[in-house]
Amino acid sequence: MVLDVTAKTETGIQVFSHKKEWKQVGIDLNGDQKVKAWEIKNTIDLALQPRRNLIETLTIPLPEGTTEAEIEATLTYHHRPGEEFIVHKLGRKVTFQK
Amino acid sequence: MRRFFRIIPVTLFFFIMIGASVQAEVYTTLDALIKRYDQDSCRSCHNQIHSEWAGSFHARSIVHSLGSLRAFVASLEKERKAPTNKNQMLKCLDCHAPMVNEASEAVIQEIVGLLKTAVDEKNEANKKIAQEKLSKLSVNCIGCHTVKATADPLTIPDPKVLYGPKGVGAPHPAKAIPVMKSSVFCSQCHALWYAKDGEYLYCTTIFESHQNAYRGMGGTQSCQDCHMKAGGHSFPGAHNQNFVKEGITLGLEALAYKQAVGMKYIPQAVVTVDISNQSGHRIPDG
Repeated sequence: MVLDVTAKTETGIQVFSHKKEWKQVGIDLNGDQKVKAWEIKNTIDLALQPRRNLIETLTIPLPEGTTEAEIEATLTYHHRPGEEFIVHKLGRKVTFQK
Repeated sequence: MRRFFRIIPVTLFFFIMIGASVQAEVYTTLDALIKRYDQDSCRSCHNQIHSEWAGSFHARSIVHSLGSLRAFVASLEKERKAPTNKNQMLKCLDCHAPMVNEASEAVIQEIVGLLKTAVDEKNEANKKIAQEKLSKLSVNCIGCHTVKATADPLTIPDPKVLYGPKGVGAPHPAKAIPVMKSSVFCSQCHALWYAKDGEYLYCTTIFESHQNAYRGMGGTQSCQDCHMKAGGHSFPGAHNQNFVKEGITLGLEALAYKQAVGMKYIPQAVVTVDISNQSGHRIPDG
């Protein structure tokens, strides 16, 4: 699962992007990543844990003179390669007084 | 010596009980096994449940995983130099097709042959025939309601009985079994899987997350509470967009301010993203 946060100025130019990924990695006894279940002998748990809230605070620098910026957060679930879908997508607008 | 004579009746009772316990039949042809597990007789009374199940991944547990199953056969033959016998194949099929527990070694070889044809065959017609036959193997009604019903290797289910949470009012032998309402029942397959030879398989570790992380943090829901709401048998999961949406929340707040840098004010946005996993296990999980 991937979180993408982007910021675009009033001109439509993307000036910021941030990505965070949650996953579970299977490894063998040598620490090499494996995908076949019978080759996996341990896992590295980088997933989003249940009953937990995760708060990411980002400070986004914008170009001088920006009057308006559109912030967008997109959460995408990657079920299998080629089977991705957007779980949630939210947008917020920030404006600056001249 | 007196102790020895006291043990004799206990031992005799133990062996009599084993002899009297219900043994499942071993099917010597794949057709006979498929016929025994045919769900059409279930559909006549449980039409709604059957149609929900037919659209689920449980109904496609073999055909959806053909590539992985074929890779396991190849791994046995080439890398592991191990026989493609019942003990080895049950490492996949015990969960992907629980009915195979009642298959003879000859049936196992038939399934192995079909897996090779279903994936490797150049002739599309032959390939389709093999896939069609394999589609009859799945996690179906009898797989859960008889073969896996007791969720206890020491309690062998009666092959003539269909077990369920209620177990009453059916025209066939039925028995109530409380474990069917518990996450432990699902853990037979949706957890780290231990084979008879001691090998463990990391197909999924979702039950471990449910038990240790979710319940460890005070969660009280069972697998069935979310994945079988109101007794539904469509088993929604990570493949279902709306279901995933229910399990994760996303919040976004943004604030504008201008940072003082020398004599200038540089615009900045302070953004807070709030994500919460409302499900009963980690996301994602294999």
